[in-house]
Amino acid sequence: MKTLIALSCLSLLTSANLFAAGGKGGGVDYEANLANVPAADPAPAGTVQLKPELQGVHPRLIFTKDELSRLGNLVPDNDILRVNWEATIANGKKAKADKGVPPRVVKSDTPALVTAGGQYPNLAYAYTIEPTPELKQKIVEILEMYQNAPYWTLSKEVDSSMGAANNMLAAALLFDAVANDLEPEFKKQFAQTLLEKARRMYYIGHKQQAIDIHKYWQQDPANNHRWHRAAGTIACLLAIQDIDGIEAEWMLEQMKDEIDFLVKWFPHDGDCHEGTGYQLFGFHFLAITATMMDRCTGTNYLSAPGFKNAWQQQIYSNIPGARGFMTYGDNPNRVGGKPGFGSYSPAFFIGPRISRDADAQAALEAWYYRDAMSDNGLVAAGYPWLMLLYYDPTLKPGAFKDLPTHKLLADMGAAYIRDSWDEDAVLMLFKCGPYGGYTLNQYRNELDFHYVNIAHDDPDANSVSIAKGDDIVLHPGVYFTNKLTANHNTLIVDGKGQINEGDSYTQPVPNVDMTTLSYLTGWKVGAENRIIIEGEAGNAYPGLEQYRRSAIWMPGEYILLLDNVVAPMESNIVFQLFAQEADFTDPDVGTGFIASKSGQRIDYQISADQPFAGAIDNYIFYGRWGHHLMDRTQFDVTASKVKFATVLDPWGKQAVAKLVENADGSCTVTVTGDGINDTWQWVPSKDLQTPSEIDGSRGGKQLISLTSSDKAPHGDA
Amino acid sequence: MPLSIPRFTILSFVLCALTSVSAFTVKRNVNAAEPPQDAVVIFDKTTSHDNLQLEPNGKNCTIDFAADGALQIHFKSNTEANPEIRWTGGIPETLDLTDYQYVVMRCQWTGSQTRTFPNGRTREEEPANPWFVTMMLDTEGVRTAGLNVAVITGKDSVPREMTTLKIPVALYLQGAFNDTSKIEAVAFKMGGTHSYYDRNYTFIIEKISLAN
Repeated sequence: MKTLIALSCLSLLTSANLFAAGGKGGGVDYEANLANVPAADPAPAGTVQLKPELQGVHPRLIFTKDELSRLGNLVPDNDILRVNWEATIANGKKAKADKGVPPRVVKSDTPALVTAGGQYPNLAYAYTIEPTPELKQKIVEILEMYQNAPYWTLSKEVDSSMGAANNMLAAALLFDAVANDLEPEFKKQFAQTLLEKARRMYYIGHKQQAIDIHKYWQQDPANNHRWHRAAGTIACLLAIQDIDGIEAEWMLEQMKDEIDFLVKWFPHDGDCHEGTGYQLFGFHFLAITATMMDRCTGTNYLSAPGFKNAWQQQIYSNIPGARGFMTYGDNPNRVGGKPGFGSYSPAFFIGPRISRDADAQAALEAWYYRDAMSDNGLVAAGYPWLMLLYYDPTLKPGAFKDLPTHKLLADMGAAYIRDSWDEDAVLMLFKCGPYGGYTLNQYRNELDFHYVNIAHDDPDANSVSIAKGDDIVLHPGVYFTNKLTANHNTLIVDGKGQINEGDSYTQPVPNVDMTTLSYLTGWKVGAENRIIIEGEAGNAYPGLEQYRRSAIWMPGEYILLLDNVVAPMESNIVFQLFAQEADFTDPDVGTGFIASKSGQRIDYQISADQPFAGAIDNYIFYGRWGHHLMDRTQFDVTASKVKFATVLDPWGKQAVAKLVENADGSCTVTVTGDGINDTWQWVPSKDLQTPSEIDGSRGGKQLISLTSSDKAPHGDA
Repeated sequence: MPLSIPRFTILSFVLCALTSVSAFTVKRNVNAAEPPQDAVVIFDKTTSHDNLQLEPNGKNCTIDFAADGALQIHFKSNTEANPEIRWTGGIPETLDLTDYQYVVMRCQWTGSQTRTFPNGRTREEEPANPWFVTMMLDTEGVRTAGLNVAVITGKDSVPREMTTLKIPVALYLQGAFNDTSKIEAVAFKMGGTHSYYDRNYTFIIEKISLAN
């Protein structure tokens, strides 16, 4: 049996007024797109249904009235909850419908993200907390605004853009808050509209029937733009499942398949291959989707490990003593700024909410207090309702300084390592993973190299970045407008970088398993948090046979980088360091320094197994959010093979290294400095998979060793 | 004459191969204390500039010389301008940019722009970054990388005082579009802007040279 879906007459009439000339507006053929939305859906299979106890209950999508009341009882005793509770109510009271025709929230993605998806839900909370006629009227006016807008996005992605998704989320949450208080006829009309929007999103968007559109978000499960669509569509469908005369069950079944797909491929780390910034932009939308589904239908999506672990990428990439991240991928890597807590940052509180990890709760709370404390006290998150949604004040914080000081994001082949959780700590990022990470590549490989979106990934294998205290010193870069290896703290060979570099948006390497190009080989955590991490990126360069980089982390003492580079022929091999400031201190002994403009400085000393040259040039980081003048330090040789040993001295121990290549091809590296007299035996791996053998000792006692069995994990498995 | 290699030389070579090299040769260092030495002076306000050809390339752009000989590029209104400084003698017809380490430019940005709001109110503005770009043209008129002057000062601001910019040639080469071995003009670009802006800027140049 097919169910006839009635389209909103009001919407069509308004549509005709706004978008004359045969349904084409601004170059968009609305009618042709809508022709791809069938008049009816098939009969549901009965596999997904609203929980019986929620039939007729509103609000229900992300809270019930009772749940919110109980949360309110905790407000007096918790500052984080209090400032966000108050801000949610205050911001909700400020929310209002846009009288413009069309309203701004449908004109472009930005107001849809900020005003609709970001701020309108405050009103849903405010009305539930204070159900006054004035607040009800505000919601009704916003719903009428949406009802009178024939399209919830004026873009070629007709009612299937990211902006449309955010409008859907806002409209559904507002409808959910007020549904049982609405005039019955309007309630039914608006429920019909929510269904109409969900169907358009599904048929035009998810089914890839938008006309003349690059289908960039539908090709893989990790695209955060897809998660925005999931949130908006699920919110609409769950809000209307029990409305008389609304047949939305089959659509919900289809979208459950979609959420199954997204959660199946959500990395266990909960990490984002596009970096910390894009994780921030996407995670909330997947988390709220799973939350709504679990609450309303009894699914168990939030048990997927990625949800409880996602906070780690945020916390571990946090700069020790200042607001900001040090991350790979597309992120401006800004440091500092006025007090505040990122708009979508509250979503990461869902981790300890699920896991009951008190130390994680403490880390997130400490992050909040550090970033959001102003001269006038604690300030609310950008979207305060998200704190009410994700933050569980009943979970008492533990001791975040008890958390491990390192985190290997195995899905990405990246590790964050710090010497402490203090504000003056040193933080290192080592990255040598495949474009997209392992989970996404598994998806791609299983589907015969199906297209995946890795547009925001950089050709940065074997790159190292370091923050010290309140600033980034060895810089990972910015949101580059052109993805080049030359922008990163790794090698370039004969002026060229890693495979598929050079585009504004990185594309997958055709017909190649990208996990074979660059990957971690070794990972060892030893006593006193000494760590050895190692990456292999030889296959990522057209001009190299091997590029093995080992980083030895001696917390409080030094960082030793060992590079073994082998090319098939004589090549110009260039080792790079990027910082805001740089200089050579004594080239005769291989010393120099890198520094931030704020004065954080790291001295280094470099040795090689053959004569080499150094140069410091200015270099511009061309970024989407601004250009930055940097100092680029390069060391180069023209040879078919070279070994570099570089000791970095962020703790000011006057550390220097001496590299001796033995007759058998192994090397001895001695590192001396204040209280340091270490000997490292280094046998570089002869193949592209086995970890090198590295063994350190001091005064006859072993410091840490990497052996052929200390293999780094590749992905979640 | 047969080649004779003393035994100690062979021993030294073997030792060298087995031990590390920490000393490195410095190719370039933009932060070195020693100032760069001029190799080619394209323009100096204190010397004759009869060999220069000045092309404003913009209907509201003019170029002239101040009383002290400094070169002045004036930008009015809100239209695009692409002023060029060319030469006909005194220095090589074309220059290979890669032969030099720096472009040294002693210069100053002056003036402001006026914004007119719909209600007729006006506001004078001195944006730190007016998106004014320096570049080099080859014989085909194709440009090197365009460098935003506010960015290359390292202060996110155009130089409001007379300043000597020591611009590494590497920045012009980073992403250059042209044949950098055949440079025949120093050029600038001021993009067009909104009609509600009225610019009145002057870029003053006292010297342009290529240096090592």
